Amino acid sequence: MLLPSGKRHGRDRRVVAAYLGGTLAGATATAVLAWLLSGFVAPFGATARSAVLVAGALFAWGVKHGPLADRVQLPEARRQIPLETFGRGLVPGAWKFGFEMGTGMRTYVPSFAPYVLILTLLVARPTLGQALLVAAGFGLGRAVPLMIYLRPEERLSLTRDFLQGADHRFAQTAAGLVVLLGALLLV
Amino acid sequence: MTGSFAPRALAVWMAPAALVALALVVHALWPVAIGIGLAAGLSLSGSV
Repeated sequence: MLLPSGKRHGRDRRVVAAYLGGTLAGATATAVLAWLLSGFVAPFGATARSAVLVAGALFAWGVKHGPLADRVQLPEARRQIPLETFGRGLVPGAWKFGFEMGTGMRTYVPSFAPYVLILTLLVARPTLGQALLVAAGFGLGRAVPLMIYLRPEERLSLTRDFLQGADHRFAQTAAGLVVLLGALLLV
Repeated sequence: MTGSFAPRALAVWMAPAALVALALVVHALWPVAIGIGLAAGLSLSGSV
């Protein structure tokens, strides 16, 4: 965790704010790039793009949580964010760490939902404003655990419960289905 | 693939679905965009 256990300090809020800024910036960079690339699917109709979304989501689920696990690998950076990220101090490091996490492409991706999300940006052809809102949601979602950790009461138990929930198979599948449903609305 | 939900943690996890449902009610797509991003971001939260 970025924040040590024990009493909270004002610095912790700056760390969380920097991390949130980083996740939002990283997610925005990825979303804008994907949005630009989505122009290549312009010739295809909504039905074809919806079919690609559903097929891609099923495939990603199968690889991450279903029968294709351990047989096929989806592209992901199989590494931790390096410690050198924090070489210039905790607050700047938190921003850079958040940026790398926000891109969604610089470390492990244990869930299939982000694959459905990037497919959405590439295939659903959202407006630029919608793509930026997707990025805002993703960056916020990545920062939520640290934001929860700032809560003055029961922060340890609440954070633990939340993070355990993130590993829950039901949560992973439900999150991906929410993304797929939303993506089909955007097509 | 273990773990359990505490009620308040579950409330956080339900937020994206609530946003997508809101979009169906208000016939606007901005909650969908935020909701799907939030869902995908939350799904990676265990790796923080």
